[in-house]
Amino acid sequence: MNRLIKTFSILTFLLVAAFLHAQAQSVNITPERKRAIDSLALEKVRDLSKYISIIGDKATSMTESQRVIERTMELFMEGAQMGVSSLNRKGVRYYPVQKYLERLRALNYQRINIEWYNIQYISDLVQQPDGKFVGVITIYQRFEGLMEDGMRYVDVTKKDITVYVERKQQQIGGRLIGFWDVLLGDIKVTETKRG
Amino acid sequence: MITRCFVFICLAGLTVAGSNKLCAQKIAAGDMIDLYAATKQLSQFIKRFNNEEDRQGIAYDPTSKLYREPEQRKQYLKLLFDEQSITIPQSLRTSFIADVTRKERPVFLDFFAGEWFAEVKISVSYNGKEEEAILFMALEKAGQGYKWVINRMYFRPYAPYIRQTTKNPNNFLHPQSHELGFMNLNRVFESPATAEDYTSKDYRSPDYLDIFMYDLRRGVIKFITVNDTRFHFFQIKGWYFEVANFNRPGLNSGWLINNLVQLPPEQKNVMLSYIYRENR
Repeated sequence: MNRLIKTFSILTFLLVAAFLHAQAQSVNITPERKRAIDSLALEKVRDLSKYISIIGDKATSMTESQRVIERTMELFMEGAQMGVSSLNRKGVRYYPVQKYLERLRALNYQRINIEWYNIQYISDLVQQPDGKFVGVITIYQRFEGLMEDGMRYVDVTKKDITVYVERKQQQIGGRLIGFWDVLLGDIKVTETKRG
Repeated sequence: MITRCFVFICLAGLTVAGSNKLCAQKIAAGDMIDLYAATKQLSQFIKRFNNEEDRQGIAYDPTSKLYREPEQRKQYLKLLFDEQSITIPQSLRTSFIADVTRKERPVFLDFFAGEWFAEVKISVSYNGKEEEAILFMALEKAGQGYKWVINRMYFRPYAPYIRQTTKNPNNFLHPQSHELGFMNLNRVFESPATAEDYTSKDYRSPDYLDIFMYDLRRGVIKFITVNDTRFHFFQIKGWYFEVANFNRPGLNSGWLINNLVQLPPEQKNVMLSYIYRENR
């Protein structure tokens, strides 16, 4: 009888261990999956770049830019902020993302031209304590503003964008379908060149 | 010079080969070359150090023969030094590169292996005056993953009050003090610098972080901003190096090694004390 209980206990332990192991494995990100997540995240970053260009464009109407700001905010986790550092000032200035976009819209230039470099760097995804994965995508932006008196302001900024990746499930037609949800987080904006 | 030419040719090729036409004509080719060359993230520093990604920053498959390939790795390693640092002699770099790439047992950096930490300089308002505080951050395993934690700190205004010496055994309250209603306690508090001599053997002097957290709770410290981040690596046996960010034009920018020391294991604590600003 004792032997039976012992065997049963071992079997139960092995089953629980195997289940826990499977659970742990289920969130592993293989290189193929990482590539798929990277392109999903890059898509969001490209959307962000596109929206920033539209918001900054003086030809965009107030109603349209407001709509684009709202769309932009949907890309972000709640509470995400922009930390801005410049070449001639120490430290980082913090802005909530919405405020940053509104400031961009209100810039006092007659014409603004925002372009994005064809360079991006994507870090590995690292799991944080709550199980979500976090990575950083680095991109570069060239900003050119033309004042009414013809004065030109140009800068190049590096944008380090936090990307949160979470495994979620959704019920579609009675079936649970798993998918990777990608949201943007804090962005560090560093001025790299002024000209 | 050969290394610079190598980088330039590789990167110029990449710029021309860029398939996505996101960038317009106003973006100068020189800018593109600089940005490709820059070590843009610490993750990239580690990947270049180990030769785990190609020149475009795309990670190699670990099964690829290019992954950690030693000859290419040597080229990458040469590019990871701050060219303007006068504190790293060429001979030291050469022997470091030879050591980490040696055929029989090459050494690689591992993000999760510990033995490295961040030093972050922040500005705070302390009693209404702006002061610099230095936080030493460590990566800690927690829950299902990892997090950065404040491991220790240095705050200059506290330095005169942080006790570095051991207790003086001649300072004590005699065992019959209770019979006098501990009237001799006045001697303890007469000299604040030696008051700790009278504490239990289990008492641990508060360190910078203890006091900082207490002052933060009291509201006398307010965070202003982050000014600088650098990293200290002790992962390579027999070596210490520091990685800092260089935001400047040219091919030598981003996260680079700006300090390299050959460090016998028994001297590690001396280096740590120096970094932590102990006894300074």
